[in-house]
Amino acid sequence: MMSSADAVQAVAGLLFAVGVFGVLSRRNLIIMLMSVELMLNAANLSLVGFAREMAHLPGKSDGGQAMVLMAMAVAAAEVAVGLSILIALFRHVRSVSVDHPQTATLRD
Amino acid sequence: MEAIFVWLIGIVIVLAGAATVLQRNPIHAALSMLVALGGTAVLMAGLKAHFLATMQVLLYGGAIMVLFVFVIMLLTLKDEELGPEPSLGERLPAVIASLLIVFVLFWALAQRSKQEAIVYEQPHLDQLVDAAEREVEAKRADALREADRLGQTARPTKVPELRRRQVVYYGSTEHFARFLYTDYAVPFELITVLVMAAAAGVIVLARRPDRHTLEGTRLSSTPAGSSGGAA
Repeated sequence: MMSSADAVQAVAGLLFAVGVFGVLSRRNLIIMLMSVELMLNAANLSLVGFAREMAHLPGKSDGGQAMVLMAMAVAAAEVAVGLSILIALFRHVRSVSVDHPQTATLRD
Repeated sequence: MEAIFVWLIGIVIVLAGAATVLQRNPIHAALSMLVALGGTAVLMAGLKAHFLATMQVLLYGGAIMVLFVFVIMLLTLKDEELGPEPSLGERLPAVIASLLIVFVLFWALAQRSKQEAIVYEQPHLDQLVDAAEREVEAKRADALREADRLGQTARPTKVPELRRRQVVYYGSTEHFARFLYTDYAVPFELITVLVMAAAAGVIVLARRPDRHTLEGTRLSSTPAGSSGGAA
């Protein structure tokens, strides 16, 4: 029987693997960005789980929780930049597929 | 027993995540991701990280999802613009890669329960702590003796203490403020710089290159007309 702390890490690991599968198998740029978000989310969940285990030691869980907050802010910035690149790409090639022939030949 | 609840919400999260990566329609994928992110917020609240759970709902559920849905609605993709997806056979390497990751992560998880504690003896610290305690005891005894000498019945009010206690609740906003504005003040300020830079970058990137709001700036070096029928 798994402890609840291990169960949290297992869920985070599964969610991360789902995100990896999404990035590797999809060709739609929007979905790939979403998969990256899922992976970031899984890492955040893992950090919160580890911080919970350190909760009884004063000051030991601070780093994990602070890192989650930073990762959330970075994720928000990353999504904003990623989606604006996506819009710029869509204007050029009229497609959000990374396999689109024009995407492969983009210059500049 | 608690593990069952973690698994219940965990199944919801992982299934919603799987739905996100398997849906063809981006708006369906976005709504599935909302379920996965909401489930994560619930799990974070269950782990007593209440402030982070709130931030998860506000930042992921609010800001990021709105951004995704907004972009999907803005593009209004037709089926041919979504492009072809790889067949099942072409997805096999991705399946193998993610299964390998699952195996490695679960192996690491199994190693965690076999952790061995290492106890470091720190005699020099013991001596320091003993000396500090002796000093405090001596001061306390001095203060009591002084009070007796003066014939006071009242106990001396100023008795030195080794440490003072402050209670904050784990994962609360106060707990966060306590370390975010002290030990992590520099990363916190750097994050604000990053977000500002990202906001400025987004404006530059998402501008239409054929429309000049600023005189003399042309971001796309592609000559007009050769961009493959861009509007």
